[in-house]
Amino acid sequence: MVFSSLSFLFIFLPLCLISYFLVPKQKVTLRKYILLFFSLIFYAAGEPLYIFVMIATVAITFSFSCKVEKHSKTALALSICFVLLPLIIFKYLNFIIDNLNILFGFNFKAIQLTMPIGISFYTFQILTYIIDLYRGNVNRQKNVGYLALYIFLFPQLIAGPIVRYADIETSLSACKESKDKILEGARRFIIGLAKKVLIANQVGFIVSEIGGMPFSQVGTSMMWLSSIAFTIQLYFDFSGYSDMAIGLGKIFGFNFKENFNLPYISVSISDFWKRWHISMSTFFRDYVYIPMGGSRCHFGRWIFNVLIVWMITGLWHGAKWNFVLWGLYYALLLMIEKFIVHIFNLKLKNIITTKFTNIIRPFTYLLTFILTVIGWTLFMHDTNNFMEMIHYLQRLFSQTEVINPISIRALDLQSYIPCLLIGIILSSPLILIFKKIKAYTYPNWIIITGKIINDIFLITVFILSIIFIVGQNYNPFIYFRF
Amino acid sequence: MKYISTLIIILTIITFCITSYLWIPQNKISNLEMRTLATFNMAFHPNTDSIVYKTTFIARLEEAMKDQFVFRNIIVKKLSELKANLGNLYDLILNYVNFNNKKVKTYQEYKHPKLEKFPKQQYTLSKIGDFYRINNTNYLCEAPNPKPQNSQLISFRIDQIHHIQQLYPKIKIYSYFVSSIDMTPWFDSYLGITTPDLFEEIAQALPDNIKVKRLVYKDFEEYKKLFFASDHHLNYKGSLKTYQDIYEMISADFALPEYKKAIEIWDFSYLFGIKYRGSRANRLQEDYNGWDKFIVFEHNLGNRQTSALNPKTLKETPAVLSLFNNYKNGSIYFDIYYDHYIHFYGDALLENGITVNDQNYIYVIRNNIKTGHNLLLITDSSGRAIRDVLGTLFDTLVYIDYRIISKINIDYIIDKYKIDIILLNGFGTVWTNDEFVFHFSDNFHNREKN
Repeated sequence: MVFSSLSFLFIFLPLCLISYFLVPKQKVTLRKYILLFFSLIFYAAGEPLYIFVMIATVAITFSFSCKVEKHSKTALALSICFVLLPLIIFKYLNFIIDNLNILFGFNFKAIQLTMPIGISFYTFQILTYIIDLYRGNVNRQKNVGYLALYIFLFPQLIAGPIVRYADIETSLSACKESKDKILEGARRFIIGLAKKVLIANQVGFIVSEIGGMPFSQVGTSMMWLSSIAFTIQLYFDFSGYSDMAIGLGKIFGFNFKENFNLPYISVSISDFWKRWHISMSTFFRDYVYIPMGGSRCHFGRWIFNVLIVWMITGLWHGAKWNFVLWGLYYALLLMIEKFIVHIFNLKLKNIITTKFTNIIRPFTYLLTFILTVIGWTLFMHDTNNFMEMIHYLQRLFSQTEVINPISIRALDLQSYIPCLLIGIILSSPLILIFKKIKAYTYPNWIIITGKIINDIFLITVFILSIIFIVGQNYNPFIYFRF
Repeated sequence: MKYISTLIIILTIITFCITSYLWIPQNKISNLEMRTLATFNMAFHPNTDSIVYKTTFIARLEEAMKDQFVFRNIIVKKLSELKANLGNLYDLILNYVNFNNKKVKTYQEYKHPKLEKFPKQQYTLSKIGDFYRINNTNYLCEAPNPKPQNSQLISFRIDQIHHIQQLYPKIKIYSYFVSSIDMTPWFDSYLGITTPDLFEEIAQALPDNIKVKRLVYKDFEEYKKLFFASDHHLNYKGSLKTYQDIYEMISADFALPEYKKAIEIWDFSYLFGIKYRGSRANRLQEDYNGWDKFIVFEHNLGNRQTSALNPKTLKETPAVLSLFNNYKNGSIYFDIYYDHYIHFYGDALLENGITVNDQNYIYVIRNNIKTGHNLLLITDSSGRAIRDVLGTLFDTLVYIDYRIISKINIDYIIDKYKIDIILLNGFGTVWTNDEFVFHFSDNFHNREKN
């Protein structure tokens, strides 16, 4: 079940909301258990068997948490191993087998296993709890139901954001809902739904149609179109889902942190990673990079840390070498950027004025965007073949060996181009203009009128989203595969 | 005051949610989409043979909710219109950018003989829905349109024909205009308008080595023999007349095989009780009770190979063109809204069993007759009925509906199939529709420059 499905919008969510809010606010435990019940139903609807894997993981986490709280390193190590074990088996086992076969000439057979939905997300969530518990940053959750609720909570269960236990510790055992928060949450949910259905799904057609063509017919311009479309699709799909998750969390009294902050207006790669999938990048920073020493070590060790963290980041996204290469691509860019900043601070800081910085800013936006698109080109083609990866990148700059190149018309993509353009505008620095307009001080009557118009707009957008869900069959969730 | 907008939002959303499923008629078939619909019964009692079967309960429930959604037909129709409009907008902008800065060319140096004119007649029209009854009969037509056509678009269309002629001077181009009754001046005095002669205007703008001819009928009685009452297409006699006209036009310049007479007439209405309600009847639904007989001519098509070319992948697959064999065997869809003309002539069966149509595929007919001539037939739906019999006259016939001509590079087709004759066939909309745009491969234009 996905958020942008009719069964969720018209059956699951209304039933959940009615059941939850019918219970008086004073009966906190009952409300939480109802939420837990519906979260279990939500997951079981998609993965009836793998729910037991999750239940077992919760049980193991709960049973180890007592010893972990007492700073037992053995308990910490064991619990981390047990929590990571399902992830390794379901996601990485075949990758390991394939590479062992290639490296050592073994003949191990791949195992037919479907990956449980959201395993990468909830595994990392559990890890934040265990590690923060060990560090003393959070209190042990003594109620197994509340711990299960933290892990199973359906708004963020299958595609994030990766919610840290510390962020919702108090909300688990208290009812923090209010009318304002419910409305705010509903508004956020509708925006997320619109991003997903009206932009991401439409732009996704372009990606899937071009992706379905023989590579020999995809010329340079179509390759760029496909990559840019994927860039927009991924952002609106994932941030739309995050918006829906945050909105739903708010409705139920949970405050999830923001997961995206207009990443395509970044002026540098490091800026990009402060804006894109923030919950994941901060996880790797706080639980992998910093414990390894971060940047507070000698130069060689720092390079090692960066490479390892980004390799793991790539692997987290998928068990294929293109994801590893994608991670290393960003490692290299970040290292180059750090070097440039270092030189700037040493030699140019007193020479280059703010005026000059403002002049080159649009170019830095553009450069960062282009570098991001190139990165997504590597990301979007799942492959272990390095030559294929090179060909995909090469095709962005040259179309030798292209025969009978396809066109937008040939694939009947004309009607999706306006959605792509809207997506580009809404994710570009032009969106900052809206923010500036919003930041002004207005008289009361304008504020009230603005709120009414905003709500009417949201209702219209909601109805339009339903229309598109009903009338179209294409409704993928890209980050599901992680 | 603070919560009024809140209350409005809540009530609107709840009302929308509830009314969405207030009436659940459990439709089993969609006439609009021509497919089986998933029902709630199927979600709970799955039928693995059904085309809408899904493996999980949630997926089946989701399909049922989508297929049984209130106003689904309107939603699907409006979405498809939106998609078409957005596509047209893209084409318009692109055409404007590419061609609008060019001046409208006049080709007064070309002088065609005038097209055969329609004799003067006067008939009446009475409105029925979006159409008109002619002389209070069951024969329907569109509204005659006295407005001048988009001269920019027609000029662009003619520019393209000129361009092809210049690039391929050895190719002989013909144009056959299928005149619908609303293009004649027969209703001018009744309506107090002057209907412009679009085809004459186009004919005079074309190069004079392009032969042109139009379908002419002398009065309404002859019109009734040639056209369906409830559909905008020509019936079997009308299609035969266009074939005869085209044969006459082309055989004056080329030595074609003998004119093929029909060997059989198949009256499917008599044989299987088909009451053909065509495109206009389908739009009018219960407001119009007319229908037509569905009759076709059978010709001896000889020993030929037929295939369907996918314009996206450029892969050619052996295919049986038209559903003639199905109809002969009684394997017919009897739904009152089923468009027999479109499917009978327009569909093809690929060798893997999949049915395709001429809105997505290009059809190729090859004969072992060695005339040395290969025809490219660019047409609208009026060309469907004459495709197969025309195909007997050439070594190869390539049939492309003009609505998908922009999906393939025209030079690719001309070079691959060694086309030496091009026939443009169709109603006025072929010339006035945005979709009819030739495209050339980039390599082709570079070759030109060199």
